[in-house]
Amino acid sequence: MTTFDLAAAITGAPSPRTRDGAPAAVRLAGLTKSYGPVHAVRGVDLTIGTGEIVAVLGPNGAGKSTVNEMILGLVRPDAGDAAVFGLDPHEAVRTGRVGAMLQAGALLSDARVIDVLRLMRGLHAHPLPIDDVIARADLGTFLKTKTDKLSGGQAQRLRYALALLPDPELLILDEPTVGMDVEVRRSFWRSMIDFTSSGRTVMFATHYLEEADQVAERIVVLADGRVVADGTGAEIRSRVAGRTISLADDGTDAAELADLPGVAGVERIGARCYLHSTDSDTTVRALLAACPEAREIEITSAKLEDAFVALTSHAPGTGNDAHGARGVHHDHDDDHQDRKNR
Amino acid sequence: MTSATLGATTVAPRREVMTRGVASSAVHYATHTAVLMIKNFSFVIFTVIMPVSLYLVFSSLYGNVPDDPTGLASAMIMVSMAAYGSLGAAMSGGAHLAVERRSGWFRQLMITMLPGRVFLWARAAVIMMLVLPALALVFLAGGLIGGVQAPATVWLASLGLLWLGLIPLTVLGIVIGLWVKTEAVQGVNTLLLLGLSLLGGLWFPAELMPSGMQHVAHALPTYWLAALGRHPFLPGDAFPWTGVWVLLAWSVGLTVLGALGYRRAGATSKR
Repeated sequence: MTTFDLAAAITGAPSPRTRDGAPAAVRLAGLTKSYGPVHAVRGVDLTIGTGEIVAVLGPNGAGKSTVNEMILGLVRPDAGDAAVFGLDPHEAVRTGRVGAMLQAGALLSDARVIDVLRLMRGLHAHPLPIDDVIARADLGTFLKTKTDKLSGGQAQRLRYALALLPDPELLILDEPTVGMDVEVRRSFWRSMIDFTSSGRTVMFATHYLEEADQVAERIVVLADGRVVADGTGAEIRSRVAGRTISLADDGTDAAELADLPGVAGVERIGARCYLHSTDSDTTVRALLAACPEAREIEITSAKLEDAFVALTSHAPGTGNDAHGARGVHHDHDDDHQDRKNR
Repeated sequence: MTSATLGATTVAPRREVMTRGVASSAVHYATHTAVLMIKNFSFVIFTVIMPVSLYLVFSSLYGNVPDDPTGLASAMIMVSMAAYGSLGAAMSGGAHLAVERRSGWFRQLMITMLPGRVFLWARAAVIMMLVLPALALVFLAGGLIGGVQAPATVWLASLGLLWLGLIPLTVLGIVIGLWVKTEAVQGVNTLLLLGLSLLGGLWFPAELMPSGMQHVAHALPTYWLAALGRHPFLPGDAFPWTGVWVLLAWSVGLTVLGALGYRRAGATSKR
């Protein structure tokens, strides 16, 4: 399995997959939660090993925040089980093993940044020194500012500081970079990667796909309350769309192209044929053998965004089977199989 | 597991030490919150200055009670107004809480080591701390301006009993802050404040009410709050033990409601 370079640089090793018996940082089994008629989470199974950096992607309403809330013990699941380091979420929170940045989490109003830090520091079992947190979250320039007067980016940095304060082994970050400009966002990830260098586990939800791709060594895609994909960024990209091989449309039989090894789907757009392949090398060799006259061949890799859109718009249960997404469902089955095997 | 081994050098040993207990974190929360509240000028005005202002206005309305050589009638007015004024202060804690619930700050507190019920008690303790100077000011005004005369032990006993009697009403304020919509908290507080004062006999003695209303009064915490506060000024009267039980029952019931509300607030407060 290929591990993303940055991730390898961070942990110094490929991510550990927790085997049965070892204490996983997070273990979710059949997690289910409904709010009235809304099925927010429909049976999520997920195991995150210690030291992993995992991104959770999904469109709005996919269940990301609800999953986070159940990991933190804020929300009680209707069914299923959440364990953090083998403990009940409340116990993990109480002993300061989890720190979290909640989505659009509120800040104490009518108080200065430093007041908020001092107040919260006393509520954790083994907090980090305040100066350390201030430096890591880069709060130095606005410590005396009232929380109501902070900019969006500053407020996010304070929320990040509050997540670091308990000196947690597991960091849960729900859309941490919303409201940050590019520069702050970059330094935020640098800080987070530094914080996790000693083997801490991070699970973050984001809307920014490139962030997930760059920072996380593993990406979990949620759609409609279910896990629809789980793997490295490269795996997710190749799973869904693989690569696209296109060639001039010379009237070749589509069925013949679809039968080539590795091909997951065939589309004809304009004067070109597009083959979605899970193994472009094999497909191209077979293509050239079967159609020696093929010309204007191009191979392009799918972007994570394409994969994301394909995965989340064809999630099981949504009943959306249009647009020649034949291969996508096939890949879903692979994916489920794959997770069972882990 | 390679990275676990990597992390073990820095992460693992520290976990063994639990440097702080729940009690000390509760004390920490209470003192820091109290300091933040005191810095809030309008809140201080409301809690501390309001009761004594009310007392001064009402005692001047009643004027110096004629035929009151012992100052007993003045003392009764003072105790009633202290109860009424501090009632508002005690219940005001809920408004703050409702704001924190609405903003979602609550959820941040729930991912600390502070358990829900301890948080509520710490919060009540903060209000109780702020109510004490409010009561003391009313008593000071009663002695200096209102013509109330009594031995020091009587003053202290009355002050102490009023203060303890405010516990269920402080919890009531918190329950409102946890259950009622933020926009409605002020209205509900005012309504309850008026209802509890009127029916509890803080404005005129419950003994003047029709018998049906007297039964209601005897079930209310405000009636017994004032009764407890009056007792030290009335030597020879039996100690109102019924009041202690009624107040205790309200405290227990409201605490249960508060604990349920805290759990609900964590799950439903804004994200």
